Amino acid sequence: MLRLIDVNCRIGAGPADREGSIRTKEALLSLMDDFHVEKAVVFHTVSQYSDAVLGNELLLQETENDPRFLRQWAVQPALWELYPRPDEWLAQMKENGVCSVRLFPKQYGHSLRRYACGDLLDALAECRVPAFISLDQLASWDALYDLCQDYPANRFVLCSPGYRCLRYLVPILESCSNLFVETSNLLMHDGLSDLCRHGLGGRLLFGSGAPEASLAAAASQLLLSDLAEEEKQIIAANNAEKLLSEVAL
Amino acid sequence: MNQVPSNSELRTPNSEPNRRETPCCGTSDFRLPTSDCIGANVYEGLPFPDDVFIFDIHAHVHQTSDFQMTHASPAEVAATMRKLGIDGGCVSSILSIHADCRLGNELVRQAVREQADKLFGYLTVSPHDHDVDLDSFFADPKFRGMKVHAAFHRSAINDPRYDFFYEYADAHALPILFHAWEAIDSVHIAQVAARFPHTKLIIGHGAMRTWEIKQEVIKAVRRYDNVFADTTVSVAYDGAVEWIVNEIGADRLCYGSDIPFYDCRHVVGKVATAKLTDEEKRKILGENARAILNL
Repeated sequence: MLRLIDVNCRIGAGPADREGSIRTKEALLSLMDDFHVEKAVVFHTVSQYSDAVLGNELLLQETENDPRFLRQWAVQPALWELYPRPDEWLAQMKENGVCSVRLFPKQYGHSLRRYACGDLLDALAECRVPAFISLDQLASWDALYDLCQDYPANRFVLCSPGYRCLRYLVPILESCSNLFVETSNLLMHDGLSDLCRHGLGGRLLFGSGAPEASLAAAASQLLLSDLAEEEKQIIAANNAEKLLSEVAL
Repeated sequence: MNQVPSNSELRTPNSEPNRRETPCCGTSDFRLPTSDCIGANVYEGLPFPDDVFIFDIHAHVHQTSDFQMTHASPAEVAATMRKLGIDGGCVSSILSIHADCRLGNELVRQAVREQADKLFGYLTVSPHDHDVDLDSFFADPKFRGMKVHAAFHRSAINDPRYDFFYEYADAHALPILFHAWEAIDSVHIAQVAARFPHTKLIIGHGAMRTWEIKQEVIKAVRRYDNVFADTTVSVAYDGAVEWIVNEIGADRLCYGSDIPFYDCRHVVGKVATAKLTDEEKRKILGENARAILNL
């Protein structure tokens, strides 16, 4: 039986929660139980859609005393006194056991280039805090390449790359050793096996995008793949554990 | 930090997940998978058991130029079905849809012969080309229906130029699989269903998309006995399969994957592990397709 760590989950209501969809933490835990998902990296929807700081606070409350949730904060570059400075973010993250961050440059409307995000991303790099970012938060695949190249000391996790990604994703992975990929929506036929066969299995982290996307679908894609059990386990949990264990806050 | 209300405090009582009355495997436990569930093999990463008939009603072969599709040949699509314990699938050629309709159909004719243990064929029909020997294709028992992709053929499902094919399908009780990406597509399919009651119509992608689209799917399926929906585009949230089954019934939903646009593993696993009875899952995974395609 594989041990799974889901690196792409959210807690909280979204603006377009759909009929029959999972909306509570308890329901998410129940689904995790079905697929033997030990732990899930979670951010709060309020961080994504409304207010990063408020969402981060809500996340702490909702995940209190529940070690199955690995807390992820949304962060954004400082602007006057409106948001914490990088050292303040990191101090609060350390205090609250937050081990990764999520970037929403498109949603928040800020640049990822050095003039805007340099201080923040340099601080994250110093503590080896991985920064997760969905493809839909980037202007283009070239923007992802530029991000990885401009900040070589950072570790980035691309979430929900989609099934049409190979012609962009593979050369970027081959050029940028600081990029990892979360597997939800990475749904090319035999895609996981292909990426592993070409030496990229160490860069893949199991994720689902739940509850907005299907944990059952993401887990089935990995569990039923042609990969050997050891390869599946690397993607299912080992890569994520290694990445998160190296955080030094 | 300021104390703020938790989400559970903020939510209304109506925001609980949609829980079905019907439990998995007939037990009283809503969520716990048990060893005799059809989904049990998915949790273990094993092929599906032989006694479950699984048939992919929405599959393809061949390439598109839009992006790098992997393992798109008939042999590779069939190989995946064999590995997973999927009994078969009905394929149309992406070449027929995206480029050369005639060439794609001829290649499907070849593919269903070469992969005879797994693949059946749809004849892709184009509103721009009526010069097709329909009798020749449908004399071949491997061809089980028609595929209509009006969007790529720069047309609409209710384009009168399709009537040539709808009339033939109706006369021969042949099913038609539609690519139905927008809500209007289901409206048009309902119109076709009313005019051609002897053909069975499958709303491709119908079961999994937005609320607005699903409302039209539900209306069409409820109103016409000859309309069905399939499960392609299955990255939709957990609970989507159960929700649509509640709306249209397990008799009217068919497993379809869109392989090789997508892998089929995620959707077949999601249906197999849904919170449905084994009887419902059997219908969705294959028995409905068996009846529709006369397998």
